[in-house]
Amino acid sequence: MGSAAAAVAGGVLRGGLAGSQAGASARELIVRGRHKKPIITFCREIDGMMGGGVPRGELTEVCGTPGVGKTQFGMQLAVDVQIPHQFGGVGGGALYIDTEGSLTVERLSQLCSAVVEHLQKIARNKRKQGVPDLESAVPTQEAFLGGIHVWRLHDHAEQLAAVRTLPEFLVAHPEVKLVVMDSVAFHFRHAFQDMSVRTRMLSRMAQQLNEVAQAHSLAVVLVNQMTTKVMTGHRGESSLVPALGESWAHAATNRLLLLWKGQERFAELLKSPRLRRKTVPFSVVGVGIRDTQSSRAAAAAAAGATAASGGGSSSGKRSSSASEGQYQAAKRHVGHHANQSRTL
Amino acid sequence: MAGQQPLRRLGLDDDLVSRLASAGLHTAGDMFSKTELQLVQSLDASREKVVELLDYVSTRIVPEQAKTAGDLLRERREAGASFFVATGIQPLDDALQGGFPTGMITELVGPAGIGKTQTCLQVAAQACLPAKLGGLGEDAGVVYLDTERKFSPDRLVEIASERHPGHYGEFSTEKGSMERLLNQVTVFPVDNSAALVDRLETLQARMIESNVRLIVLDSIAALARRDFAREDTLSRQELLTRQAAVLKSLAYTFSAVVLVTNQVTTSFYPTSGLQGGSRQSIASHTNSSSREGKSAFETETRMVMRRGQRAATFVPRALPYFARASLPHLFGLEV
Repeated sequence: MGSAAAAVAGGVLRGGLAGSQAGASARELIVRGRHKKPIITFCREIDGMMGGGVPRGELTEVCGTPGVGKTQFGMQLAVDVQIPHQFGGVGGGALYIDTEGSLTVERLSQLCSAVVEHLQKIARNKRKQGVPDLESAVPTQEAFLGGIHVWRLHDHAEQLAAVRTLPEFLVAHPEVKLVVMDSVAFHFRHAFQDMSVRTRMLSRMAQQLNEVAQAHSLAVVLVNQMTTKVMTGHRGESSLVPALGESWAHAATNRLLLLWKGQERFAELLKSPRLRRKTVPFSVVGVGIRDTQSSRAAAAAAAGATAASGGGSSSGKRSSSASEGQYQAAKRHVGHHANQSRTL
Repeated sequence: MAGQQPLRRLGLDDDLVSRLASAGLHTAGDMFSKTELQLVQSLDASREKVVELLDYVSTRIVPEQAKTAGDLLRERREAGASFFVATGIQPLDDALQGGFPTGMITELVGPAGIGKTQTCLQVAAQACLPAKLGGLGEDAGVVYLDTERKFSPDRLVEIASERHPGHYGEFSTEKGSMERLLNQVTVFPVDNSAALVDRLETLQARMIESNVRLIVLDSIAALARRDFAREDTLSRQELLTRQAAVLKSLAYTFSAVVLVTNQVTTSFYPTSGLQGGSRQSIASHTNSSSREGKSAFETETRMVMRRGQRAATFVPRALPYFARASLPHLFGLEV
């Protein structure tokens, strides 16, 4: 009892001294956690499922079949992490480790300009409500693009070396709060005779990533592919599983599976130490990762209901055009974070 | 690929290099395959020394990259037109924002006889054009990896002079343009996967020598089918992934367009939208029993060609979303 109390008191005294080796009380962890705002995805459903967005200080693996939106997801986060504090964002920078060459800066610039427009819209609406000038706090599209560092790596040795040099990079760029590795698996899926060597390299890499994630409050997003697994004893039948095998499955704290169901994309939270396993729809549209039409409509209806009962925080006139609706949804979404009132 | 670079080129002193070599460590990749403990033992050095050595090797092999997305976008814009090779089909080029992109792999998928090889030939002719005509320049080279002996020089001449009469045609004012085209394109027959891997790995020197900006691999499916029995999905995927890695690296390093043709093994769902339907049925060179259409090749842009209304549909995974569109009636190719 006594020692626990001492730890609590010590924790409070030490205040924000993160990364201290002395251990931390649960209470202290909660206090620290408040400063680690997650990174929103711009899809309310996914954010809700993940407890507000992609968590920082942890590894999150995103897996799925080709074309389902893994890279889009990574790119969207690289933009979203830069949303300024004034708008309820993290106000950080991003490092995109591109191992496959799948990052397209043209697409990235589209995502950036969409977010810039969202923020400008919020700022204008806030001004109408009498909130002082937010418009000057909106970064330009160039600033967003400039806030994403890109590393292109060509083989697994470069990839391992890059992770090794990460701490140095993060000291030089303390603003970076997100590292996306797209993809983890690509260079590890060939040229290995001895699988135990591969497993060892991967678990070591995961460990190093975990360390930097904690030390710098980074969200580390690991994109992974799916691979064919031949089931033993099932007459040679095969199924799709995330690549890199069983031991890699333990590497990430959270695992998100992106999948198709008919014509719609879904995100399934496969693994999380805190949150319930759940599946939600999302879509990839011109402006980026967003809610689906139907879940937007449902959210709008719910918002309408609360507005009618007098508790709505963001009424906003609803336009009939689809893209307008989208902006409104995104605005409500970001506004939510800004108001710190996630009560839904 | 820096991981394959000999350690002696990383500025380590000779004594250390020979000690590493006698421990069987010749590349950075070799070093990373060992644990720190193994290195401590085989080098007879302290743990601190080993960590220091690993850190040093890491900083040396990580490519220098103080670039942001903004820098990359500026570079591409400055490269201008030669960032894409136009397909010569206007609506398609519009949808692709200029044509097939350099620096990545584009996959052409379709049933036999739909016009994949014809498209390849047309793009080859297009790539050899000067930049002002939508090509990659007259000094650009094309490598054509022909796995099915389908390359026809006569057809290339025909397509070139029909598509670009002003430049390649009989009455062209450009002297020797056709001659130049034929010298720009180098054809390598490839018979099996092993030969392809060998060829790809030796391609680097040629890429520099002849300024190769377009690699055509027609077709990948034939090789995989020839080499492996159906149940051997795993090693097939492994080999394909390896091929893809080398192709992607070449594409990126030399900002080349890589065009790979592939076949479909299952039919398209005629009624469902293409995003859903074709996605599930491009089993291609991978396990055809897999309903998800897993492709080991992980290409950046996939173009699906369909019979019927002569439509080509693009599923550009990495390109802007709005380009992901079905473009009916646009294939003006006379096959």
